[in-house]
Amino acid sequence: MNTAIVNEPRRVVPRWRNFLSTVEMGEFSSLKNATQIYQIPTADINAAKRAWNTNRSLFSAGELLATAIQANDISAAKEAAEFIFRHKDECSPFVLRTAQQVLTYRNQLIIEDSPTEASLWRQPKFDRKIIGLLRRQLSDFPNDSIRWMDLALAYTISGLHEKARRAIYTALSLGGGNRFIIRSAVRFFVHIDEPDLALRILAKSPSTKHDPWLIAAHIAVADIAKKQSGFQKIAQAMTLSGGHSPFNLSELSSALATSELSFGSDKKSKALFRKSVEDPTENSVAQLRWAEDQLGKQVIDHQLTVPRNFEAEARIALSTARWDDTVKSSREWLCDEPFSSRPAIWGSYVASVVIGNYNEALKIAIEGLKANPYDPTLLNNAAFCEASLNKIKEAEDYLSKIPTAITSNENVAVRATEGLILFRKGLRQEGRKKYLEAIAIAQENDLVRQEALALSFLAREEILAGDGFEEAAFKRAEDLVKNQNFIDLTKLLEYEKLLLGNRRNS
Amino acid sequence: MAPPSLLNFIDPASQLEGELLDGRWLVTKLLPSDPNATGGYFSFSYEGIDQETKSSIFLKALSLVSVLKLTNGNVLRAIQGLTNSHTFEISVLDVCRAANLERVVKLLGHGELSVNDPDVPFPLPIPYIVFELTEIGNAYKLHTAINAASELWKIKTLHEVAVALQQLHTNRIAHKDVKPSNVIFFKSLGAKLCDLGRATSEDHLHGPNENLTIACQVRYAPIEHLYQFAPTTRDEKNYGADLYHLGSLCYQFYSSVPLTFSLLSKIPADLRPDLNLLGPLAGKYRGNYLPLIAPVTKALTEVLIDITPAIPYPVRAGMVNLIGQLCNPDPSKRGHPKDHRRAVGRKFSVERYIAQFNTMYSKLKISGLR
Repeated sequence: MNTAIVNEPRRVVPRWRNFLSTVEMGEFSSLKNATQIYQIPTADINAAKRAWNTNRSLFSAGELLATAIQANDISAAKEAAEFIFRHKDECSPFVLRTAQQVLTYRNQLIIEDSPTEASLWRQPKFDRKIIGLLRRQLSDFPNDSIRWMDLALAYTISGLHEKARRAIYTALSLGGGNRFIIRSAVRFFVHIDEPDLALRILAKSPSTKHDPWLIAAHIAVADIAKKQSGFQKIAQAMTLSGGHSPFNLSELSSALATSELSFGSDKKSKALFRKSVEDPTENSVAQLRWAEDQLGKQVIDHQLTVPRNFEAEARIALSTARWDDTVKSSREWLCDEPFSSRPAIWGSYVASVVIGNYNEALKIAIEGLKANPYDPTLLNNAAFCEASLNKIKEAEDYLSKIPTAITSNENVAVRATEGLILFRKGLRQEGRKKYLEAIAIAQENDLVRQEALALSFLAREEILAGDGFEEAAFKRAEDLVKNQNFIDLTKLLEYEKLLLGNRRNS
Repeated sequence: MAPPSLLNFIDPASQLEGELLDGRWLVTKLLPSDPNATGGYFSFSYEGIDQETKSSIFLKALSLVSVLKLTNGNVLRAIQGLTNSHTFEISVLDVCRAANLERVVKLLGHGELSVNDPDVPFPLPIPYIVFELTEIGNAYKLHTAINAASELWKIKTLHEVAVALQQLHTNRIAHKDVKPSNVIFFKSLGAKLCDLGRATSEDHLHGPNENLTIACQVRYAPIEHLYQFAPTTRDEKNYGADLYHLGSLCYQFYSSVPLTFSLLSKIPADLRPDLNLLGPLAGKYRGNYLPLIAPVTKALTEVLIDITPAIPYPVRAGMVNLIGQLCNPDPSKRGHPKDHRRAVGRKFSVERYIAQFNTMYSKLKISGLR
């Protein structure tokens, strides 16, 4: 198993959700209020009523319905709606739906006609039908940049990155000045490991230098690309100027705080993190919780309640050893950001290594693999779960898909899983060798956690095999885990201790 | 505002029945205020007879004294504003008459009636304008009469309205208030545009409507007006508004509700304008319009997806495309994309749409739809 992700650096890379969810999260928040130019007259309901009384037709009923709704004249709206309903075969679907809303309302009339794809997006699990729907709509109405971006998201969730890339280029060419379009594109290019392209998109957009949301993205992505963001000074001035609302500055303050933290300026960093959560976005709260893990202490001592706070909740649950809550929050986080590998890695790791629920862990890993079919960590986690369930063929299938170019971290995990498979095949000597190989690589690269993990699972396999090496293997793993205070592995070792006791007794 | 005691008199502008104006216009009947007409706050409408040609006429009499009754604040400015608008409307209508614009309601005459009644405390004159009279009524009446069934009628009317706009635009005039009640019908001549009370003219760059800050009715207003967005060029503001209104009219002919109403319903509540007078359609958004062009484009797509089945198949694709172009949420791109690419000529032109309506009409005829 690979757990390096738990301690991986985190940046305030923009979240990428579908358009409706992004609106709900307030990310279309305007930077300044419009000045009044036009005086808008109130609805001339009496004129519409007179027209209706003179000429009763669907045409005047529609006019009355529109005017009465605007004027909050419910009885007139109902009269028009009833007429429309009686002639429903001649009406457009929208007018009929509006009439239905008027006829069925109870206390407060709220007119909102959700887009056709909304119900599909709102399902707890991603439904691929949405791709077909959006494609059909875009073939008739190709100028809708937001629909292109939603299609790109659907492709990304389905792991179709090249199709997503083309949809993103189209969205950028149609609505390249829009914050939602730019931030979504940036998130995509970070996801497919092309941060330089994300930086170019941000740098090219004329909106970036005025928009704290885009500058925050630039600073975060520059950090990933190991470059210096050219917007640092503007960003600092923006946070000090007081020209923007705390909500609009939330991610920018968070991005600056993360930069300060990486430079070792803890004091400045903490002040900026505090500023970032005055009126926070969900992303800023997650970033703060990550920073608290890095600093080893709380920056904010009160609870921060924001919608879709799944990542932050998963982090808190993990750091307080609430394992079931960690899996639950990771699952919710995965539903919220289905293309992201992190929640799937977290969920599958805790469910398998800490809780020992391999079926649940496998489901989460498979969910994550839909969008990231070649992610080495997810493939390895799936293989580990299958092998732990004694499904050797399936485990080998997953392992065979892992690309050859992987990090040493991933290499340790893959070797260890190979060792596990060999053990379960009955080839204990070869399995042992693989585990020792994994441990050696971890030691060479100073990967203590990976070493502890490999040792712990070697111990498990030795206990199960009962070849006489179990006591020594367990002792070695226990010493390292205790020494490093790896709380997640402590739980695993407790289970192994129990196994070992049973073995001794038998 | 004058003291209440002085305002309890009968408005002389409402008492013109039986009068012979300018020795030619015999006023026969006071009309009830047109339920869908706008700008009728300070005027009375009459039917009459042209004594020279014996044809029917429509007469609009301005009531300057009603300004005294209804205006709170600077009465002199209000009277000046009304007279300026009246003079401007006559001058624009004169241009239309001189150019013989057959799709714009014809100005037959105008003048001023002096008031000599001792019972009227403010004997202000009554300016009037005389127009040709519609024998049929406006689009509402005709739509009712033919029960919205005639697909050919819709296309023919839209074609005629587009021609009317083209004629106005060629004469450097923008109408700026195209809506069903301002489309009137004549038995032999078909549809004409009336009510140039909000028009602007390039020959009167300081005309009274040039900086008009009162938008048209919310349900007809170009969507950006509700977000207080100021177009960047004069053409965008004036001719662009005409294009939006033409697109909205097309939409309304098939859906029965105005486009802006449908658009508002499709925009998520958080992004709708924070305007109390929108009632349940009001939202929370107070910011600039430009960042919302993409979301409003998405809302427009939803609107068009919905309306598509209501449009007869032979003209469906063309009509949906046309509404999408005319009502483009980006005011600078409103109209035909090819017009925006050309180096010279008007970028906000209805010319191509006239041709498109012609084609649609032929397609419908060939398909046998009526």
